[in-house]
Amino acid sequence: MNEQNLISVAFLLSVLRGTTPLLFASLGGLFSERSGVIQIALEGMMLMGALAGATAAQLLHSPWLGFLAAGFGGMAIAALYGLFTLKFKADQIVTGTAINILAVGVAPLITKLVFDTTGATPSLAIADRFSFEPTVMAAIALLITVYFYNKTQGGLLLQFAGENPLALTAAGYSLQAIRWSSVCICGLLAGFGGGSLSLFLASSYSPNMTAGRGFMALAALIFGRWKPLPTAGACLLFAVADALQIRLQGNESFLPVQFVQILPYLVTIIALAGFFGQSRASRAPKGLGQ
Amino acid sequence: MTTTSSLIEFKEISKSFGSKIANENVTFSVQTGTIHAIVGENGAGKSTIMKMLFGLYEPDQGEIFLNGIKVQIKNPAIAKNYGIGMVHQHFMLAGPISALDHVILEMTPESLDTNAFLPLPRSQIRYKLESLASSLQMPVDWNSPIEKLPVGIQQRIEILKLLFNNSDILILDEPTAVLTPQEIDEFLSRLQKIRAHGKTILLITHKLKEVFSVADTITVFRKGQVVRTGPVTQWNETTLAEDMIGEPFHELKVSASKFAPQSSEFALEFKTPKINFTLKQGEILGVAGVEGNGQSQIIQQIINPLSRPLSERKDCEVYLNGKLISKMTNRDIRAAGLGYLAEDRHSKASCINSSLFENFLLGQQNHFQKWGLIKSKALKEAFTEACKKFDVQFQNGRQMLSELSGGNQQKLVIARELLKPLKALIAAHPTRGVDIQAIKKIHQSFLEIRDEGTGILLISSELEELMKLSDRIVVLFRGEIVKEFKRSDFNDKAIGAAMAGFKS
Repeated sequence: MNEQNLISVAFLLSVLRGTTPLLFASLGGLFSERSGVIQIALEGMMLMGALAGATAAQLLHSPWLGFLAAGFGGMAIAALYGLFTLKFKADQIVTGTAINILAVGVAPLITKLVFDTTGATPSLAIADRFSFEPTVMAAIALLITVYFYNKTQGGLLLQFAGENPLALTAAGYSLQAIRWSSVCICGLLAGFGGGSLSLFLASSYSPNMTAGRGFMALAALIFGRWKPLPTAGACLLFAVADALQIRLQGNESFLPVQFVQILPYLVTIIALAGFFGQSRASRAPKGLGQ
Repeated sequence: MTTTSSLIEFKEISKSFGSKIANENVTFSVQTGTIHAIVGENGAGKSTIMKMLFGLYEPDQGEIFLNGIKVQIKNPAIAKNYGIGMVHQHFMLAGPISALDHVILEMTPESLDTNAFLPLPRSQIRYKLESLASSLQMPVDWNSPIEKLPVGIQQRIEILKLLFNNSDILILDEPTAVLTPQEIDEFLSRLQKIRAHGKTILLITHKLKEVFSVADTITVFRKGQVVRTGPVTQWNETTLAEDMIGEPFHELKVSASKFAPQSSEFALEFKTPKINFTLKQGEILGVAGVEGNGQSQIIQQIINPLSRPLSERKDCEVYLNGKLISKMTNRDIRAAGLGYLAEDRHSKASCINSSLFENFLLGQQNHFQKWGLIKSKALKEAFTEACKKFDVQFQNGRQMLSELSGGNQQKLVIARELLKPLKALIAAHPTRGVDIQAIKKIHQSFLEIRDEGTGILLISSELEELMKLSDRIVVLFRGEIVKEFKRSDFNDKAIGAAMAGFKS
C-alpha cells in the first residue's frame, strides 16, 4: 500500500515535469496564433532553446543563465521567422517548416564548434541543472498570460489582431508591431520550453530531443481552443499520457514497448479528431495566416 | 475664408490605384450639422474619397481643409483626433469578442487612461456607454459576443462607438444595406436625432429614396469625379438617377409572363421539414428575408445537396421538373437543367485571375470538348455570341476577368449560365455590386428566359428588386417561410414586417 502511494506521487511529479515544456511552448503558440500568425515552428524554437540552454549552462555553470539563454535562443529563431513571414510576407506554413528543418541542421554545427561533438552537448553537472524551478515558472507564465489575455488592453489588441486585423488597423493600431511582439514572446516562451527539456527533464542537449513536443504543444493549443486555461488543461492531459507511457514501459506487459510509446501521440490525435471536427473553423482566430 | 469656411472642404483631390483612377479633381464642401449624401454608382469613387477623409488612403494630389485649416490625415488615428469616425460598409467585427470590447478598441489612449498591461476599467466604461445608449434609446447587450447580435444591433454599436468617442463627423458607408425596411425607417429617424445634436453626417449610399428623406445636401459622383453638388432641392429622383449614370434612364417595364406551360410539372419542388415551396415553369419566385435566415441553406440543398451532412439531407427532397435531384451530383444536376448564379461571384462562380474564355468554359466543359481537348473555335464563337447577347463589354477573350467591371463580370457569368435553356435558375443576389445599366440588362434577361418557361428562384436582399420582378414572394425568417405574397398584394411595409418576424 505504502509503495503504491509512493508510485502515485512519483507519477504526479512526472506529469508535472512533462507538462512544463509543453505549457511553455503552447503559451508561446497562443501569443503567436492569437495575433494571427500561424505557428508550426514551435518545434524548431524549442530545439534551439534546448541547445542554447544546455550550451550556456555548461559554459557558465548556472542553470538560470542557461534558461535565459534558452529564451533568447528561441527568440532568435522566432525573429528569423518574423523576418520572413511578417516583413517579407512569405507563406507561414512553408517558412515554419523550413525553420523546423533549419533548427535540426544548425544544432550539430554548434555542438561541433563549441564542444567538438557530433550533435549532443556534454552532460550537465547536477548543480548546473534544475530540480523543479521551471515548473513553477511555467505556472507563473500561465497566470500572467491568463491575466494579460483577459484583463488588459494588450490582451484585447492581441485578440483583435488575430480575429480581424482590419478592425485593428482601422482603430489606429499597428498590426505589425503587435504581431512582431507576439512572435518574439512566442519565441521566448518556446525557448523556455526547450530549456526546460535540456536543463530539467534531461541533463544535456541531444539531437531532436523535442520529439514532436512542439507539435504536441500546437495540438494542445488547438484542443484548448486558443484559450490559456483550456490549453494548459490540454498540456496536462498530454503529459499524463506521456507519464503513463513511461510507467507502462517499466511494467511487464503483453504489449510491445513500441506500442506503449505511441500512447501520447495517439491521445493527441484522438483529442484533435474528436473535439476539433467541424467546429475547427469557428474557433480558430479568423485572421490566422492573413 | 475664415469667417465663412465650411466644416470640411475637399480641394482638387485625385487618387489612383495603379492605372485605375479612383478620384479625379474632386472638389466639394460640407457644412456643420448637416446630413450630406454622397451618391453614385458602384465604383464611382464615393468610398475612396471618404476613406481619404478617414485616413485609410492618402490623396495623390489635392488638399483637405477642416474648419478652414489644411490637414493631412495620414492614418485613422489622426482622423479620430479630428473627431472623424467611420462606419464601414462591411462592419469590421471580430466574432467572439464582446460588444463592449469593440467599443474599447476604438477608444483613444487618453480616454482609456490605461496602458497595455494594466487592467481595463471595463465596468466603468460599460456604465458610461449604457447611459449614452439609453439617452438615444439605442439599448445594447454589451457583454454578448458580437457575432450573436443581429445586424441591426451591430450597426447600432458601430454608431454608438463613434458617438462615445466624441466624433463630430460621422461617415456612414452604405449603412442601410443590411437592414429591413422597418429598420431603415427607424435608422433614418435616428440619424436626424444625431444631426440635432450638432453632428455632421456623411452618408454614402446608392438608394435614392433615403437621400430624399434625410439629406440636406448631395454630392453626386460619376467615374471618380464630382458631377454636381448642392442642396437636395436641386434634384428629383429622375434627375438624380440621370446624374449618377450620365445619360437618360428608362425604367424597365415588367409585364406578366407570356409563357403557357404545356405540362403541369413544377420547375422546382422543394420539400424539407421546415421549408416547402414550389416554383412553376415560367415564374419568378422571390425569396425575401434578412440575410442569414435560411437563404444559404436553401441554395445549398438545391445546388450542392451531397455536401450537406447526412442528417440534414435525410428528409429533404428537391425535384427539378419532376426529377429528384437531391441525391445527384452537381454535374448531373446541372446537366438536368439547373443554372446557378452564386451570391458571391468571386468565390463561387468565377476565377478572377483567369481569362474570360476560361471563365466562360467553367461548368460548360462538356459542350466544348472532344476527346478531352477543348474545341477552341466553337468556344470562341459561342463566347462572342453570348457576350453580344448579354452586352458584356471587353477588349478580348484572353484578358483577365479582374479587368472587367463588376457589372460586366456578372453579365459574363449570366451569359455562361444561360448558354443552354434551363428548367430552373437559382439567382442569389444577382445584382449585388452591379451598376444600374447592367442591373437593367440582367433583369431583362431574367424576364426573357421566364417567358421561355424557365422558373427563377430569385434570392435578394433588395426588396425593390424582388417586388419589381417576382410573380410571388415568400419571406424567410429564422429558417422558415413565414409568409407568402401574391404580386397583387405586394407592399413593402407588409413584406418588411414579415422579414422582421411579425406574423399577422
